[in-house]
Amino acid sequence: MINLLSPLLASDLSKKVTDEELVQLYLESQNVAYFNLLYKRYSGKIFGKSLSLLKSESEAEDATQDIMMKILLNMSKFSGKSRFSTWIYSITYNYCIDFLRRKKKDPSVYVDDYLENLDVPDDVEDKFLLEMNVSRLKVILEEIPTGDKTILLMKYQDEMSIREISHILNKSESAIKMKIKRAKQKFKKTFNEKYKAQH
Amino acid sequence: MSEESKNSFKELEKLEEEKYANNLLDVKKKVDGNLNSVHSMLNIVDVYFSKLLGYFVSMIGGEKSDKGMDV
Repeated sequence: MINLLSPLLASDLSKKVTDEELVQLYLESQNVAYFNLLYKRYSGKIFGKSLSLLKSESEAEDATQDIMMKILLNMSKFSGKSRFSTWIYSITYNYCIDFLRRKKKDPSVYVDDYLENLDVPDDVEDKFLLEMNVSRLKVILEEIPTGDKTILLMKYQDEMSIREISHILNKSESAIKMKIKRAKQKFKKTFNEKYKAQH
Repeated sequence: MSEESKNSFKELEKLEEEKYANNLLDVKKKVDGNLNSVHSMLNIVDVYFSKLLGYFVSMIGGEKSDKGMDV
């Protein structure tokens, strides 16, 4: 039967035990309480990313439910080569991208970028994005294409490396660098159109 | 300095998590339901699989072992 840890132990565990240790504990004991702790840590983040990409609360709820079940059923496949968070986010992004592709809801996620055009202007500084006012950041992320938003979230919100992003999106590292560059440019262009005129 | 470590993307993520906390309560109920079903199914497999295997072995003429069949 399902065992539940005492609230004291659960709160203690939630602070001290790493994600990877919780995975191990769950796999060894099949105790749902360990999975619940992982759920507590990640369900909000998964929902937020799903909502950001799918733009519908009900679809994001369904996506979060499906993704959590996927994680549960595939937990034994987590090899520990990457961080657990990276593994979870890769499932989340791939789920949302597949969903959008199936529904053909947003062409920017299934039409590949115009990578052959290498005439790329100067980089937009990371600082410009990282130190932006949060409400403006939210507005601009809503305006740029989903493909650009996805890659910016991976890099700046989830702090994934170029290598990790290239594995998740199944693209070369140089293609990912180019996509990030373009997404940052699009971000800055949208910012300028929206807010520069106000100053 | 705190300015150096500022990350508006992380701040946005945190705000969104707080804003949509109620949506997650509904999702949790559904996940719990699925979780119970999965565990019940695993229990059923665990309990009856050895029995079925024993019957199958005896049907094809093997010796039925009681070991592992008593639940």
